[in-house]
Amino acid sequence: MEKSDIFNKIIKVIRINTADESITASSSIQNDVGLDSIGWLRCLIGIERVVGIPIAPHTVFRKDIESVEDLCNVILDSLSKAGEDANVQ
Amino acid sequence: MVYIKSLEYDLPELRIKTDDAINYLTKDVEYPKEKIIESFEKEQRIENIAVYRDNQEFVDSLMKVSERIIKSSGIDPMKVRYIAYGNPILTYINNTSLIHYIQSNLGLTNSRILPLMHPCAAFLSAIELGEKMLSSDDEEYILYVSGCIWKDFDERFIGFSIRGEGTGAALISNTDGIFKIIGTNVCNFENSPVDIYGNEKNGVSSARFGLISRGAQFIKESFEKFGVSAESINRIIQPNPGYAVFHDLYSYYAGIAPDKFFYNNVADGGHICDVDIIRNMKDYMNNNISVGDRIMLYTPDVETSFDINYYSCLAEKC
Repeated sequence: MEKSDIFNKIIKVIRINTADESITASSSIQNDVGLDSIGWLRCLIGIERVVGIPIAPHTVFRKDIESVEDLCNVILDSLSKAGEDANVQ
Repeated sequence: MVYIKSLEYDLPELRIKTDDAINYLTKDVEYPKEKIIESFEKEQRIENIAVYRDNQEFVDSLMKVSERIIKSSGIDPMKVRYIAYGNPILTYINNTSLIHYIQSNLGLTNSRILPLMHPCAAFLSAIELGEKMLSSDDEEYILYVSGCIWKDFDERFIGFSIRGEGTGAALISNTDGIFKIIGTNVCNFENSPVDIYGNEKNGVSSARFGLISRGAQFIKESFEKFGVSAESINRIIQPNPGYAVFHDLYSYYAGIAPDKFFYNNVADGGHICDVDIIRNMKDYMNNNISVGDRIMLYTPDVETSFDINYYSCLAEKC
């Protein structure tokens, strides 16, 4: 998958879970994405299903993740690493 | 070997609709209450909350289940070795200890009072302790009592669920019962929201986030410890914080079919600490459950002031 595809898929999942089409890559995790803990877990499950790798629930609380774009980049890194690990095996 | 000899529970008649409860809770704040109401009604499927009219009704309810369980079991009250409970309010509501009153009023003269610091898991904790503490030779029992009543609505609202009110009791036996206990398991999350000085450490939200995935992992660990699989047991009996919590989240993270959990009481009453487990277990027995059928009891014990403890218990129908 191309980076832009991954970003679009993730943002689409977040929009579906928030019922908010105005969510973009620059949206703030804290201030714009109006999800409670249960909502975030459901959202992360949706993201896991589209990217195909597990995502630790506390990922959204990482200090280096402020925007949706930050979250997408972290997931992209995990995807790359999962791909490298698969190649090594 | 210990057994669950009998179960009793009682809920008040009064119900408050979930949307009324949310509207009341959010009346002074700028908050998207429509979203919260929708979440509760569509996702968690909590329709109403059980509420006692006053402390008197709560006390009468607790006395009723305690008396009923001792009298209906036909046991000698002198054989009750321990009275266990998990909710501290049972020792100071109306400036009196209901536990001590139960002890004297029901003639449990030979019993010791056993407070367990697990508001939501004290029942499962009492089961595990029963294995260790009840005699291996003489007939003995643990009377477990539970009750929830909240001072005000702010205490009820815990983010993704709303606490209701009710009482419950269980008799744990070392001789016979309706379920025998095959195994127990426990662990803590090691992710306390606050440090010992009350300062935020990991944060409540962060702790709650991992609560479900760790709990799902704990369920899988419990299967392994008990030597069973999700497919080999009839049902997992869990508390009632809401439908989506177990149907969508726990089932996904544990890799278990959603219908393995028990949802019959989710809509009515709210989350009533470990009265939920007693209620769900008793009501589940109304299904066609056969001798040899196995159920797993599961609950996390969650309060903002302490680390999460997980408990599970495998029980087999006798």
